[in-house]
Amino acid sequence: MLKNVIAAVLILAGALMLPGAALAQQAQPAQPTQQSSTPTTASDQDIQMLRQDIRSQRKQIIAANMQLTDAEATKFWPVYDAYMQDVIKNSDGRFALIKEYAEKYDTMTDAQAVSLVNRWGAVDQSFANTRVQWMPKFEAVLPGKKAALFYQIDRRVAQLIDLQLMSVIPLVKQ
Amino acid sequence: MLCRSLAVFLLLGGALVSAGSPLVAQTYSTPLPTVNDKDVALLRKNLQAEAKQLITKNMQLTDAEAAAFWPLYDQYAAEVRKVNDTRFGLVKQYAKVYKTMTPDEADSMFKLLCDADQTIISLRVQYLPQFEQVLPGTKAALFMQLDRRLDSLFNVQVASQLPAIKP
Repeated sequence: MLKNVIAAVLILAGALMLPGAALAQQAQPAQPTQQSSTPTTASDQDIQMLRQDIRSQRKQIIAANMQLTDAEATKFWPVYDAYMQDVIKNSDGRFALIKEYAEKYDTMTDAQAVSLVNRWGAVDQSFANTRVQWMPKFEAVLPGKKAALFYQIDRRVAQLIDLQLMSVIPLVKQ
Repeated sequence: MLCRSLAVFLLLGGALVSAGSPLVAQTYSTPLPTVNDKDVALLRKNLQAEAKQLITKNMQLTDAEAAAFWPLYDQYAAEVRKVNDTRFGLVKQYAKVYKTMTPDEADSMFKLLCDADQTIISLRVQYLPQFEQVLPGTKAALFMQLDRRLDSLFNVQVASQLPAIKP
């Protein structure tokens, strides 16, 4: 199941990114790819569909690992759905930055690069703050250790999505 | 190089935790080895050295840039290390109380972990203008991109080795 999430994230990030991406471990210039010089782009509709798929898989992972009773589930899922609305807002910001990065990639100025990193940091902060802000709301609807288990799963899935995104975004050109 | 880092992370994460019900389909058929604080310190030192090598290899700094960059990097890395001390402390504490953890302990540890996450993000934001002073903007951005990627890798590797909380 987790593999599906990874695949979906890879497709999503790959669709947004430019060809010839250099990974962090590659110091040498990017290896030739089979793609032409024109980046493959995904439409906003494609991206929305893929993001929806990731969210659905995220929910499945949580459902499979939490083993909620019916009574717990009745209270938990509405809170989770509301929490995800906040997460989606943060993700919107992140995907907008990725699109901007892809658009400016070949011609990026020093100022644009720094601005993007700054705004990426702001999105990271917003993600982290959202998690902390929602903790009391989950604690109100779940027993203590189940709430903690949810935080643990949610953080781990979010980190995995983040790492996958990071891994396919090409490094800033020097 | 990244593979070796992964192996060290896996060893470190696995060695610190007790076998439980892992979250992402990992099973431990044999008892995990235990390591002492000295081993952990040595492994972390290796990781720090590898991170530095990775940055060196990807940044392609001129001599003048390197002379200005590395002292600032060392200062930044020292601050990050303090946060990672907290993270490793929490992993140790988690392993110690795993079987008997109370809801309050779980809650407290998670809050501290979130604090650590937020501190790392703040450090990055705080240091970006300083790196921008010693490097061209695109190189400063590249450094932050590499650093963030390494931190993300660190987080996933450590987290993936911890068994899920038993409700």
